[in-house]
Amino acid sequence: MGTRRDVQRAADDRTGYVQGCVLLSQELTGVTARQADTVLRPVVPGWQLRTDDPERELSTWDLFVLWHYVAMNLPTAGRGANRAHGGPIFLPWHRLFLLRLEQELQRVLDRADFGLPYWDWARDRAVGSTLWQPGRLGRNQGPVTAGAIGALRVRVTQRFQPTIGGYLEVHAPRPIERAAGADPDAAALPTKREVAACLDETDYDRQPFDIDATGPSGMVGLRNRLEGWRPVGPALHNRVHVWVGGDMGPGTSPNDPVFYLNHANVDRIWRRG
Amino acid sequence: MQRDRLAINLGRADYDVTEGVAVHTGADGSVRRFTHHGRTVEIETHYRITIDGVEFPDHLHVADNGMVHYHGLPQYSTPSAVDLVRRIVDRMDDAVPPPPITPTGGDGHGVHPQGPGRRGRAGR
Repeated sequence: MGTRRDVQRAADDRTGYVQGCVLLSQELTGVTARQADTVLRPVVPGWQLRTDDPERELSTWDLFVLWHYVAMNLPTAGRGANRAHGGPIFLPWHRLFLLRLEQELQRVLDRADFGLPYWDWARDRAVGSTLWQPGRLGRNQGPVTAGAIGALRVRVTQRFQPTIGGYLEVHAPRPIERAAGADPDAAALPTKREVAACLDETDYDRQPFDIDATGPSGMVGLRNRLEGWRPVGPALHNRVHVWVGGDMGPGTSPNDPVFYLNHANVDRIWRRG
Repeated sequence: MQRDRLAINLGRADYDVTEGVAVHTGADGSVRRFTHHGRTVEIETHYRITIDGVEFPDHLHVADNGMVHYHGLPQYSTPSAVDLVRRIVDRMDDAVPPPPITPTGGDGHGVHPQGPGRRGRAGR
């Protein structure tokens, strides 16, 4: 594991990160939508993969998106819980997820010491932050087409339809889309005070170990608060997803490189806790 | 899944990951259980949602604090189902979806993550 630095301060890491994400999104694996459907359909309850082209190939980047989506659709004990969210597994599952992505970035960048950068969203909170310049992570509203990140391509998206409900679609490659600050539930990013309150939690998690933890004096456990269910959601991690919006919203949120920047920051806060 | 059951499964050479999936026995509802003054209470909640007169096939769940959750919008829990369904509708596509690679039959919705059918009893 390389050293992880602030994406706004470490220009070399930022440039490498964007370059690596684009390379992974362009690296076709030979795995087709039909093959993914064949393998995952028997395993994932409710699995529904739709596409106009079952022979469309998926990229390495897409496989990470699939991995996350599958984990989200495997329920486990606890309300609102799945194999990666809504319970004690949330932080360790995403730590492993980050490590595997980091390894892939090290490979395509040929930099064995490359560290996944993090976005300190409690410090870098402005919708007009330089983070969103085309030369950095790209615009935070609309399709991201300019700058190096404009070459990143999305092929797997969770969609919603009135008669079908939620489903997964493999489609023609397209740019990332964002809608920063548009959701009234997440008009602003989390604050340093909210992070401090999270770090004041004395336990990693609390009964009933799902999205509904409760405890004396409002203590809900670090995992619950950091994931963003309490005291009022969406908070911390959850709010960052909702604030960025667009591709960061549904279960296919690893489509946006900001997903990993957010989780690298979450992982950093966990290490401090 | 109970701890002893998990240990048994993990000790089996032929353990299939799908056996661990259906830990929710309920299909389309939530049961909140608690004891109060020595009495055991269960509150079972089911939602039937229609959009433009058509039944929406996915399910919402209620936490003990009354917040409503939908696995398709994983970062949300809202004070009411109305709030949550508004957010689902906000994200719906008007375009006709492409066909499924493997047709599911019926309503086009496969076995739900929270249980084996649409009308089963809720539970946990």
